Amino acid sequence: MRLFADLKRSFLGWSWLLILPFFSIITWIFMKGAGVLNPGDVGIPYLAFVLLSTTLWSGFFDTYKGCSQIFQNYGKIMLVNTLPVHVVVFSEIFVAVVRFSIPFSFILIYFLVQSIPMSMLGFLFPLIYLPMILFGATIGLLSGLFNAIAKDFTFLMDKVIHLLMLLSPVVYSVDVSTGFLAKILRFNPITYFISSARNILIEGDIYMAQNYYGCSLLILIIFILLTRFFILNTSRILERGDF
Amino acid sequence: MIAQKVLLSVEGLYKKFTKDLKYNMYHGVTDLTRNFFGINFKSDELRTKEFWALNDVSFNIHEGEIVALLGTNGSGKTTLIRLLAGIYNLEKGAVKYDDCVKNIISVFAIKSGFYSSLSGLENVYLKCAYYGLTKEEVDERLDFIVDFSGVAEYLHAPIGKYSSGMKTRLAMSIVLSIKGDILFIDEGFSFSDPGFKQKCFDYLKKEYLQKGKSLVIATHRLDKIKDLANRIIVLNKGKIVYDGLEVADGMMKFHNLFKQDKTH
Repeated sequence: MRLFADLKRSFLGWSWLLILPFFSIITWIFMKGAGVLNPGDVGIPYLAFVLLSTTLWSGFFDTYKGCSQIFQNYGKIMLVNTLPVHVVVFSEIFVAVVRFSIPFSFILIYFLVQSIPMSMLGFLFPLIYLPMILFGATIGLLSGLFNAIAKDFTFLMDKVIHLLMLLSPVVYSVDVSTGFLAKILRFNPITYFISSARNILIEGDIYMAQNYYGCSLLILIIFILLTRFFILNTSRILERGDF
Repeated sequence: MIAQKVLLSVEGLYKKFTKDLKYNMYHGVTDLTRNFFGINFKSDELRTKEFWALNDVSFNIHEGEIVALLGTNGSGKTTLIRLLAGIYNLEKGAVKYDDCVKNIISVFAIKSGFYSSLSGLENVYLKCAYYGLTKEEVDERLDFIVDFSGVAEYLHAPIGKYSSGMKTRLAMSIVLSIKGDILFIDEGFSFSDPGFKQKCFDYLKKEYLQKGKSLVIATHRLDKIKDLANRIIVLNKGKIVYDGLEVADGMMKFHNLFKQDKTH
């Protein structure tokens, strides 16, 4: 309903769900044509690599943003209704997944049109990508609690997330990074999440499987605990927030 | 005739707030961090710049009671209702509902929660979902909501195009369709349509007074609800200063407070 309400107050309505990802693809194609991007060896055409990776990243980012703004979006309603908080949390994740799935479908069509080979194990993609969405939700829920009390956390976290993108193998391959960046990538869970999601789709394997499974399990546990913490502390935030 | 079964028991209720924004943020972040690391802390002592918004509030609500919760602005009415509705965290004290109370409905800022770009009908489903109703439950109530509110003609128009009175009528009809065992309304009758107000009062008397349910209405305007209430609780600076069945006495007490408040 919220997604519907967002889109209803526009001339083009639902078309924006198609136009925005399409516009994003056109932008990257233009940048490629302008020679702005340095291809490098990433296994598939760099344009396809970047399109896929940035879409994966935007799914993570939208989930983070949605969860971190729960009190901004629902605070007023929560103050006047006893909303089931877990439903609100999962609706934000659901909206982010819907937003992600449309550009992702475009990417798949692009891959087919360009005859970029995809693995038969690609059907496992939703499962392999899920930890990245949960990671976005986890960071979002934690920062959302503090954001509602003091805006400093919003400013800080938004910058941290932008920095995180540069420190994650989104527009470059994990293999080309060396030195200090390579060390950071090793401890960054997104490295395993995004690389595995790409790999399962293209090569049919999981990037450093042991690390991926370890990080996924850890994120799943933290997500469950944090959701619980978020629900338990909602009333404290509603008392102190400025909604 | 007031029945004696206690539906809600409130015992020694305290709630503190901070008026200073910086300290509000500081205490908020401190509390969250302590909670995050599982560190216990005393919540029944005032910290810097804190005050008691509710101070040792105790009362019972019996079945068939329609309670007017009166108080000037800042007396603690909304805080009390939000605590009873479970929206705010309990600092100290106890709130106990009888086992027979299954459905507690609380209404604050009655017109809030509407999306102006969605139609009246879409907003009915959305607002009912906020009250915990399923689509099937809304379907069952839809005829009542449309009839009672009298907005059938505009049901498919965006609610942003509704007049304030139409929004209030629709919102109130949604609330009345739910039929809680206890209904809390915070400033819900501040609308100026006497015909619709009387229709609501008649319905509430039939559904709550005669069927042994309870209704608590918080307001600073007794004239809006004096024909409906059969008990008055007056709050002042977080404390109960009058609790009785004599509407005239309660009104006198409240008017004196109101005068004092105005002179300050």
